[in-house]
Amino acid sequence: MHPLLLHFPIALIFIYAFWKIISPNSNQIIVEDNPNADDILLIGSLSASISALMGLILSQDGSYTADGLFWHEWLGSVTAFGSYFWYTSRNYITNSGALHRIAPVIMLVSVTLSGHFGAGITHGTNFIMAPLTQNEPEEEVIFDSARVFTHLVRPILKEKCFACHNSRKAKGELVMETSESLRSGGESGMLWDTLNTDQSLILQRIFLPEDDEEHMPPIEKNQLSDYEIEVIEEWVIDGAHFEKLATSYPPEHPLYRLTAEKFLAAEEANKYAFNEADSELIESLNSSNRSVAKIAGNSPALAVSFFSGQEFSLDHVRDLQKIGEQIVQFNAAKTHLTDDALKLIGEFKNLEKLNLNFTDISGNGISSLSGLKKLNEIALSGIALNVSELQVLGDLDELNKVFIWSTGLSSSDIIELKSRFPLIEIETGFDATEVVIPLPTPLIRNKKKIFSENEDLVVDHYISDVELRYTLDSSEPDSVSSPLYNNDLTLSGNIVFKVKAFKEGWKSSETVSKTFLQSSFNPSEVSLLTEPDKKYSGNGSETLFDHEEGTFYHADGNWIGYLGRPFEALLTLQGTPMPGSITISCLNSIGSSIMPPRTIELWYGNDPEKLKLWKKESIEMPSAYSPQDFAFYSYDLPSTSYEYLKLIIQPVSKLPAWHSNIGKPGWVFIDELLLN
Amino acid sequence: MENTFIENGLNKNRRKFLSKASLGIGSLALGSLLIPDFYKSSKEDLEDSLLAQLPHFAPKAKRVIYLFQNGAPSQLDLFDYKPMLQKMYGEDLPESIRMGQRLTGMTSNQASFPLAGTVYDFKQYGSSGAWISELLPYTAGIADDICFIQSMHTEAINHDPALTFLQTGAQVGNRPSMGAWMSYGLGSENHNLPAFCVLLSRGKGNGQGVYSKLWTNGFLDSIHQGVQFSSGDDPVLYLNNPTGMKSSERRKMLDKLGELNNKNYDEFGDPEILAKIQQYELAYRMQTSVPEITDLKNEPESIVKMYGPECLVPGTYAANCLLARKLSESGVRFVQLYHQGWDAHDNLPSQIKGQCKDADQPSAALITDLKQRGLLDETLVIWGGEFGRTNYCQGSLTKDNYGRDHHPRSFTIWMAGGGVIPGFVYGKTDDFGYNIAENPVHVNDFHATVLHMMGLNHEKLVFRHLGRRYRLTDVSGHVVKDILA
Repeated sequence: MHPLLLHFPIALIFIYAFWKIISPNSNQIIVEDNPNADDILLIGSLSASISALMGLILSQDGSYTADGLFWHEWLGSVTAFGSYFWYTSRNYITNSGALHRIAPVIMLVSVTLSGHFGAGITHGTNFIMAPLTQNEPEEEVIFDSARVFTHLVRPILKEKCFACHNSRKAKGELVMETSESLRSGGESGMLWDTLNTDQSLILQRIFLPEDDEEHMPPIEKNQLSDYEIEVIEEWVIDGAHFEKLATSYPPEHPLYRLTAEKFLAAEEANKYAFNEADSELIESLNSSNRSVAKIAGNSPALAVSFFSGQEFSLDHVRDLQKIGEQIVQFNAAKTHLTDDALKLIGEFKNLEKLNLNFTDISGNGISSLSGLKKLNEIALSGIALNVSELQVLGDLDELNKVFIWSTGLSSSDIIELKSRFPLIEIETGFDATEVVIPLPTPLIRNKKKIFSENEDLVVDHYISDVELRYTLDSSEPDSVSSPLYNNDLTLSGNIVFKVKAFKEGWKSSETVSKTFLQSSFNPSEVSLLTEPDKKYSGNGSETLFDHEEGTFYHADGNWIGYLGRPFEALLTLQGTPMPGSITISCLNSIGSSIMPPRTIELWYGNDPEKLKLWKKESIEMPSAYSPQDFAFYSYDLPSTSYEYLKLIIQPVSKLPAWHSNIGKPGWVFIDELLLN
Repeated sequence: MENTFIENGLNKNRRKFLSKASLGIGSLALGSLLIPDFYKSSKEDLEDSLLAQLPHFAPKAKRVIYLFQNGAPSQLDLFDYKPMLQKMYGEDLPESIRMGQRLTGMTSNQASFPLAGTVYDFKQYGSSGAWISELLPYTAGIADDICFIQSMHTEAINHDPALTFLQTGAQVGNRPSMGAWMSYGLGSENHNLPAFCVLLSRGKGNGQGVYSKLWTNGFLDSIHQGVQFSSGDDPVLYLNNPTGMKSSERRKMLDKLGELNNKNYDEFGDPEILAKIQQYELAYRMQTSVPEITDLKNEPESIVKMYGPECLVPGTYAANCLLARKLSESGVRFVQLYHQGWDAHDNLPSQIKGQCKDADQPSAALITDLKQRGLLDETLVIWGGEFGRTNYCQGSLTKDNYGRDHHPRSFTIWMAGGGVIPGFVYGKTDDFGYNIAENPVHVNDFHATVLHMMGLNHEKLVFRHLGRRYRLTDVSGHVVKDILA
């Protein structure tokens, strides 16, 4: 109640007192004219009395022992009584010349002082000046010499705990100011339990819910941040050592990390002494191929990157001279940056990281960088270099990393550099000389299996200087006897084309194989004499001469399938050239019971009712499962003239013993017939 | 969004109103009472929060490459070595370990849960002594660059929600993806490329789908959406000019279109119109920048040998890793890869072998490549799936074959570069590889940590939508500082 009410008398009495001070002399004003103003004093006086009473009750619990309490109590009472007295005798005072001026001043002083002492009790005695004065000047500490207790834990205790737990107040008989007093604990006992650290009293108090009476710091005081809690927790759990350096812990230890977080962050923030560049200038330097950005929101340092090497010009670097002081990172990899630009870059005094990989600079040009005393990383990969040109590295005092792969430096050069610059890490990149891996497979660009005109056979490879060797007779290509593909092959007839890539330093690729079938002309008419299976009827007889090859997916609509009955087709050859041969293109998919044809019969003649048998051939059946495969069967045709050609293809009537569907009929699938 | 519309409408009235009636501060106060954020444009808002996010130090990571192993690789066969499972091969998972926790519908009806120790050999590698399976010889070779987190856990037990959770911070769709948040928070470094790119590839193992909702901008401006690069002749769809159209004609057309769109914006004030103008302009610039990037033909032989022969074959994981390096090197903030095929419910030993053959060498090569270019310290690479796999067998267990079901309670991911501690193993699972024994890392914690590495405070990178502020980590998440160098 007391903290809530006390602000009413302060505000009201202030208002009334000021009004009284600035209002003209009583002689001209008849106070009765505005009685409401006096109500302000009445309410102020009443609330002052209640506040004083509440304050008295609050002080009884004994937890407030501050020096200011005595004066706060007395001045509070003076304010309460004084304001009451003022109200009751206001008419007399108003009319009594001198008192009219003195009374408000007395009241103002009394309210101000009691308020000040009161605030001192809750916020600490130095609460007004604390933010402005550093009573203990912070010593400059760098991470390497930071002690966990002195520089990490104690500052937290000082900020959040000392106000009550100091040698004068010693609330709960606990003083936290020195290591001795921390060790001896308070009236509730020792602060930590070395055998059972995570049950320590100090941690219990911190982790109690905020509204718990025992929670520390008390709810009305400034609370510990998550970071501060972590610091205290880790320090106590670690055994509450007072002298240990943060660097005595391994880097993954929480105390090392927490210290680093505080000190390295601060060191980072203060790292750059130069001024910030104008933000509009930075904005204007961003273009479609150049990015200029601060390395962090609060840092003056800038990072410059060039993208898209095509657009690069010397002016793009010249523009940057305006922010030359602020640039700490510069990346122009893969641009046409030249030695001229390097001279400009050599003036960016604060550069720390410079990436010139695969630019157009020369080894000689690097000497313009000798003035970059803060440079710690330089990337020169992809630039022709020799050892003497790298002499300049010795001038770069802060340099600790160099990237020089793909520079033409020999391994003995590298060894020499390493011995000359022992403190510089030299990145020589991935060494592929010993690596032998297979080449990717060649790419046959001709997409369609069936062609009609003579067509160029186009084979490609991802690597331009490989040897592509091929065969046309379905044998495996080898690196010696097989002919070399030289963009000079033309497709003609039926071919099984196999090609393989070879290159020194690589294993040969896998073989790629593709069958090409020629179809010179179509018959004038085709009719199927037997119906294909309903599920695999494709587009009827048209399927056979549409030049659309079927895939391994036998229901793709380009196949027609027969089961239990023969495929019979009649080809009419009116007005067409006389074919010299016919090719039948089939699918083998043994797992799906799609087998090669059992027999193929060819009949010819001028009357479809009286055809003559030309050829009947039995096809050899496989003797085991094999992967899916395309097959084709070619036959010469009679050289006489005839109008009709008939094909009869019998599927297997009974699947062989090794097949899982033994005894059941097999399928035959045909996608295309080709006349030549 | 609605707010923006109202603002646009009122803006004009307000200007008129103030200039004519000069009511001054009173009306301004009224305006801010009616719509609290009225005088604070979202740009300022963002800047405020971003400035607050870069408190004292420069972020270590500038870019992220996320190698998402879609379908959930088995941590027990790759990183989380549990000899106990081999000792107890075939015995039932003790109830004291499972503690009645939720299972998927695929194994909840199983009569028993026989433990299946990995059939692959593990060895320790690097200074951290991380255990790595023989399936990942190349990853083992870069053990000193990697930080393993063995104690990841998630809330979702099925692919889609788990994937969506890891990518957007929520199990249901329509929230912005991680990459979209980065684009929103940090923008693009290179004005000629999108800030967020997506690359897909597919292994031979059992696959699970990926959908564009995983790289959505959600409620953020659509300029932050991930741009998918595909493997065909047209890496970015609809980017090239139609046949017969010259670049100058395209420019002219875009200028006119921009005029019309700007007019439209003046009238309606829909911010999506501005996003659209920006997208057209970006696409125009990408017409030259994308072919430059996606052309892998000029990569030197040593690079090809590093990533493996597949890296020249567009659409493979290896090619995508190489492309990811090129995009990242060119200033793309967030490159998201998805590699499908890790969902081995059965025949895990053979499936995972094929997957590893595809994924191991290129992943390791990416780290080596970034390192030799001096880019690893500023690029964060993340490798991992959406959850783990069970320590017990799904289906029937034989001496050398088993399957594993989904396991959200613990899994392993790894990170490299971008300011994580290299050569470090964080977190631990119990002896059965079932529950987490030490230092659990929730998906929200993971997101908070990645944002932190990029210099973003996950509590301050917010977007106001439908009356409340949204974050990638929504309402939880702690930065895992123990893994930060």
